[in-house]
Amino acid sequence: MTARRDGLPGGPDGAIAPCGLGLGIGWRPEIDLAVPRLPGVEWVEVVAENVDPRAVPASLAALHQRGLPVIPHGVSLSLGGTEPLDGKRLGRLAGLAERFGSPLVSEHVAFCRAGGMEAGHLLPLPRTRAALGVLTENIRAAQAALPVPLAVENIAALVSWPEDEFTEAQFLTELVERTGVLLLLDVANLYTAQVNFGLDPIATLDALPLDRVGYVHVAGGVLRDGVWHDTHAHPVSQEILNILAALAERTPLPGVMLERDDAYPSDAELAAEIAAIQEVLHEVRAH
Amino acid sequence: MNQPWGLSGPQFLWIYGAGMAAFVAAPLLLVLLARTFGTSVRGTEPILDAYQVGYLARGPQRAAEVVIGELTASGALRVDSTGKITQASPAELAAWSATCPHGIAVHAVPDGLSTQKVQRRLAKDPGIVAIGARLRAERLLMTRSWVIAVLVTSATLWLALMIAGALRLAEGSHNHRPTGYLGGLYFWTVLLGLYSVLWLRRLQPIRTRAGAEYLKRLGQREVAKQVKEQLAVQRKAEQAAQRAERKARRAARRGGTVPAADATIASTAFAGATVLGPEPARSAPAESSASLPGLTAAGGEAALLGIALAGLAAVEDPTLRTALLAGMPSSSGGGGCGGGGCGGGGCGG
Repeated sequence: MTARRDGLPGGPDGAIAPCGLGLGIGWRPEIDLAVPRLPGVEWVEVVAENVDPRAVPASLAALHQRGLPVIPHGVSLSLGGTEPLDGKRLGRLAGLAERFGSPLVSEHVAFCRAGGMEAGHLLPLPRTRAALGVLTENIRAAQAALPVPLAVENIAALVSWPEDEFTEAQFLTELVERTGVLLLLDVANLYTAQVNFGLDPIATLDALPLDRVGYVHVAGGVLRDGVWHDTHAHPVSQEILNILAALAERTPLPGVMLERDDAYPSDAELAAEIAAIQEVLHEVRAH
Repeated sequence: MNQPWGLSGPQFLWIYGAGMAAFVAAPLLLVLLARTFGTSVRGTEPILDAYQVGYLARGPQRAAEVVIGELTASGALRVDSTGKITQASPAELAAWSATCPHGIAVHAVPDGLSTQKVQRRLAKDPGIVAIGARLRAERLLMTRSWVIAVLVTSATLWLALMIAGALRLAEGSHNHRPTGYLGGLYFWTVLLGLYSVLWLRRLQPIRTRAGAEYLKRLGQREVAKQVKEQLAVQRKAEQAAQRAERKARRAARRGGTVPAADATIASTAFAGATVLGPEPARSAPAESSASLPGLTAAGGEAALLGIALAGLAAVEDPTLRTALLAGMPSSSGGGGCGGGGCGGGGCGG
C-alpha cells in the first residue's frame, strides 16, 4: 500500500484508515434528531444547497459542537457545465467549509444546467477530451476558490453519451492527474453502472487511483424495468455492500457514509444499515 | 316628556348593563352548576385509557397529542427539530392502527406536517371522535345537545341585547337624544357577545361533575404515586447510608479504616437521596414546569397519562418534547433539494 498523496488521514492497515473520518451519514433535516442517536456515526455530510452557513440549523450546530466533522456536499455547482461556475454556490461551499472547519468538500462529475436551462438533476458528462478539458478548468477554478480540498463524485446515470472516448475509470484517473482532485467514490453508483451499462465495478475499482479516495458513499436504490435507480430511498442491497467490501480490500478508506434522502425508515432500520456497513468493513479488516 | 319604551335614558342604561353582566355570567354559571351539582359516578368508576383521559381533559386535540406522544416515543413516527412529523415505519403504524382499541387511523396522516397539523387531523379521526361519544355516554362529558342548547341560548340572548341596543340607538338619534353612553355599551355588547360565544365553543368538551372528579382523582393518584416512589428511593438511600455508617463505626472501634467501596456506596446513597428527594425533583430545571412529577420515572402507560393530563409538555424525552412543541405553533421551513440536485426518478449523486 502506498502512502496517501492528498494529506488526508490514511494508512496501510484497516478497512477504515486510522484517524480517518470513520462511519458517517447524510445529515438531513428530517432525521436531524435521529442522527445523534445512531450508534457508530462519527461524522455527517450536509447538502450544501440546503444549509446556509450564516443560519445553520440548531440541531446541526449541536452535532458539530459535539465534535462531529461536517462535510459540505454540493449538488448544483455543475462542474461539467460549459458556463462559468456560479460564484454564489461556490461561496456557499467555501462558507460551509469554513463554518464547520471541514477537512474537505465534495461535488459531482456532472452538469445540471446548460443554455440557461436547469435540469434539476445531475446529468452525466460525455467522456470526451473536450468535456474533460472543461471539467478540468472548472475544478481548478473551484479548487482555487475553496479553502479546503475538493472531492468529486462519480454519479449514477440512466443514460450515456454515444461519443464517449474514455471509460469512467480512465476519465476519473485523467481528471485526478490533471487537477489533483480527490475522489468521492459512490459504490452504489458503480453498481448502477453495472446494472444499467454492464460495467464491471471491480474492474473500475482496479483502474481507479484509489489512494485519492476522500470518502465513500453507500446508498440504496431500486430496479425498475431493468434499470437501476439510485433513489437513496431504499435499503442498501447486498450487491452494493459487496462492492464496498471489494473497495475496502484494496485501500484504507478515510470515511464511509450512508446516504438516505427520502422515505426515511425508523431509527432502528437506519442503525441496522449503518451496522451492515460497519460489519463489511470489520470483516475486511479481520481478513 | 315621553320616554321611549317607558324608560328614561339612565334607566335603560342600567338595565342594558345588567343584561350584559348577566349574559357574561350565565354560561359560566351553567358550566359551574353542571360540574357542582351534576351526577357523580355511581357504582364502579369507569376505567379510561390514556386517549380517553386526554379527551376528557382537553378534548380531541389532547387525545391526538397522546397518540403523537406515544408513536414518536416508539419511533413509528419521527419528528424533526422543527416539529415536522413523518412516518418512520408505515408498517408499524398500520399495525398500531389495526390494534388500537379506538381504531385511530394514524397511518393515513401525510408526511411533513407540523405537530399542530397532525394533532388537528387526528382530532377529526373517527376513532377519536368516537371517544367523545363514549365519554358522553358515560356521563363524564356534558351531552352535545346540552352544549348546543347553552350555546344557542347564549347567542340568542346576546343577539336580543344587540337588537334592543340598536333600536334604542336608532330611536335616540332619531329624536336627537344623547346616545354616547349607549354607543359605548353597544360596542362592548358586540365584543363581549362574540367573545362569550367563542369562549363557549372553545370550552368544549365540558366535563360533568363525574368527569371533573375522575380527572381530579387521577391527577391525585399520579402525584401520590410519584411521591410514594420518591419516598421509597429516599428511604432505601438512607438505609444504605445508615448501614455504611454503622459499618464504618464498627471498623473504627476495631481500629480499622472504612472500606473504600462502602464509603463510595454511602456517598452515592446520600447523593441519590438528595437528587431523588421530592423538592429537587419538582424543581429540576431539565423538566418542563408543565410536566407532571413522577411521570419521568413511571412506565409507558403512566407516561401516556402524563401527556393526557398535561399535553405534549409532559413527554419524557426532553429532545423529543422540544421538537414536538416546536411544531405546535404554525411553522414552515425550507429544506428540500434547494438549487437542484435531487429530482426525477433518483438522486443520482
